[in-house]
Amino acid sequence: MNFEFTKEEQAFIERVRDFLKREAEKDYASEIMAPEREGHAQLADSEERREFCRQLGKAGFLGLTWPREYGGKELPGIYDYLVNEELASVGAPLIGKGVGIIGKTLMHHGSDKLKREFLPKILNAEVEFALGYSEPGAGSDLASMKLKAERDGDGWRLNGQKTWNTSANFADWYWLAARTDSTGPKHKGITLFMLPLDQKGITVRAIETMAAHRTNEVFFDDVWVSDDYVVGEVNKGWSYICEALDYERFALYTFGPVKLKLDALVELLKNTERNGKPLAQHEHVQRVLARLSTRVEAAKGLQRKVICAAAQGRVPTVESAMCKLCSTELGQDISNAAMDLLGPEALLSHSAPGNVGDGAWENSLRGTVVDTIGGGTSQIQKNIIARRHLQLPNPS
Amino acid sequence: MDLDFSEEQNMLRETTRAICDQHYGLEAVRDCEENEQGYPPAFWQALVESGLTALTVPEDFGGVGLGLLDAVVVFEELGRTLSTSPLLSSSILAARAIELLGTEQQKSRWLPLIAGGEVVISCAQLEEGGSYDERGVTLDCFDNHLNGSKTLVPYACTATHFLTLARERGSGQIVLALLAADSEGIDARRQANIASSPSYQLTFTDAKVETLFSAGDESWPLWQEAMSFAAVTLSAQASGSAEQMLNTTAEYAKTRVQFGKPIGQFQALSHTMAELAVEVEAGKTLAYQAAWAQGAGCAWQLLAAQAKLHAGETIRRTTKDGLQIHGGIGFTTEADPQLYYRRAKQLQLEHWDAEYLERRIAGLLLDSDSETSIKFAE
Repeated sequence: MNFEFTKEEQAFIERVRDFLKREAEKDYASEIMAPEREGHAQLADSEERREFCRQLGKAGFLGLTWPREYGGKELPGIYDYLVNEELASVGAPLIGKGVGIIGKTLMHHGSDKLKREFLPKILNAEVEFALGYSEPGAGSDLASMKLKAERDGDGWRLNGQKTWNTSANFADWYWLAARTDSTGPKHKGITLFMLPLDQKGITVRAIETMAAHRTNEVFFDDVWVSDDYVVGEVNKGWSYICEALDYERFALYTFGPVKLKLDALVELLKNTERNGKPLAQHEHVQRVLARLSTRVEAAKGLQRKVICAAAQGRVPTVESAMCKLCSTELGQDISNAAMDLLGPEALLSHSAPGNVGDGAWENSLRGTVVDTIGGGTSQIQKNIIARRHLQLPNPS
Repeated sequence: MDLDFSEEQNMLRETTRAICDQHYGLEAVRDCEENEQGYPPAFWQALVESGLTALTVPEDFGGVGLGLLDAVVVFEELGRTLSTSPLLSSSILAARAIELLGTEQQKSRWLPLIAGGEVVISCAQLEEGGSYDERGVTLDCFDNHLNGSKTLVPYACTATHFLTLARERGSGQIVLALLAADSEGIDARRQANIASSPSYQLTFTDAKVETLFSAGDESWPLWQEAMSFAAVTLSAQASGSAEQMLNTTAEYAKTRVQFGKPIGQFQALSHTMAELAVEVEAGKTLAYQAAWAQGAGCAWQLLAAQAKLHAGETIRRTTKDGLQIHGGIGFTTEADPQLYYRRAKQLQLEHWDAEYLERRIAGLLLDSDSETSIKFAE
């Protein structure tokens, strides 16, 4: 047993840190490295973010785990995780779905044409994607999606609606799942498509949320896609979606954000006085911090189990479910505890006179809500753990 | 990074499990609640013969010289079957304290005896009030004689010696006094308790000290280091118990039928068990991390305290919810859950309770001047 990264991995971490140090000196750094921003707000589009991603590509940090024939470096999966952990620790945007699920699915199942068209652009950060999975009637029960794709000439005609497509308002291309067969079992009639977002018939409408984070609902009205842009085989989309989740186990869950949050809270409590002494010296504050710090270490352990299982080539389904459940609930609890410890002034926002801690914690309490919902709700994670780890019977 | 145990550690687990199965088991646990000794003599003999009493004692002093992580493996297995004995008190806590505080001569005299199971040491720490703080130690040590009393001393009935925390008259310094259990001036009274474990109140009246361990100002922090070491093994023991309780509960939920289906299909229960599973896994990994860090020479005492706090909470919650899921049957003495339930609170409160642990963790985390972090070695 060894909780340390290997020498090679540590050297690599140093390289990423050096890169980030150089980036931190650039003019756009304050726009890119914003640790106080909640995870999903980092998805927001900006020219600075695109430039930063191109720099990541130039520095060779995109496609680390891709095969050489596709321009990758063929490093073990843990390297994607290591980059993301460093990015998360400075609040920079993480390596996204292009390098991850889209690139890897294309490599495994895409046509030569799709590989040629998209893989180089992904490595150079020249293309932004939006994921189109969820629908108003298909959330946790994703396989019940209805957006209809009907045969039409050498392609397909799409009609229906998607929702929670966060990057749809600025992305270039859609990675879309649609129903191509509604006669059989629900997970056997789904197909993956790629299509440009500026295509006629696509209407993107903003859904504002209580966090500093916009998402979208998207309407499809007779949108045509050529057979060339079907990913893999027709009606096999669901298995590709599930398989892609496994590519992402490494990179999906970083430990940095909760650790960063706790460290920020500790610093703030050391520097905020109440009744004549710093909050960190109040006994009730210390007790809360003792418990939160214990949970942060526990979350770290569960996160380490994910990467170790993945490094051994196992699909860490249970480990990931435990990790996600634990760390997302903890993230919310840290924000909540922070506001309780800081008191009524914690209600004040970033822009308010008299705020405490720059108003970050009320923002965090709003922003972290979605963490236990997106990517499989906490309840779905518990179902996975109950069935796969404890072998409890399926609820029916 | 590699979170797997070595082949040797897996074998150690198998050995421990076999000893527990052969010489202990839940029926023996029930019997031991009724007898004075509190553990099967054959079990202790097996621990000695297989080298488990010598496990973490350095090779130079007659031990096997393995590390804390190896002890964690052993204690997880002991916890699974509630196979308690003086192993933790004698071979882990007392041996570690003597190793840290003793002179070469003192170590040469006592550690081989502990390793060989020839002496069984019970640690007498708490006094009236039950405080784990330094100021909780008031027992008087003067001219190699002890006066005062201790509470919650485990296995005093079978211990050959007591390692007693005391305060040296005059200097006010903390010392560790080792006394033969049959010395004159030691009165032991059995204390009935929730876990039906052999617990004793000891009163010392001019009891003669056999060996006095002292490192001056460093005695207290070194004692805390020994406690940290033992806290990690106790965390592992609690995790082992919690995991077993959870597995028993899940098995029950698969077979118990109500409303025409196994109750494990109801999400009110399956989600509770899933939450427990996360806590159990996290608790195990925390103890591994603390033990690994200790062996690797990294900062580890904060992790040790966090592991103990987490494991204590987890065994408490697992037994509480596990009993609830069993329904009425879990409450009966005929069923096993009550055995775990009663010991859970003991595991949580003994060897640093949550109140103390919270202060210690905060002290180490914030580097503040709270009593727990003063003079702290790290």
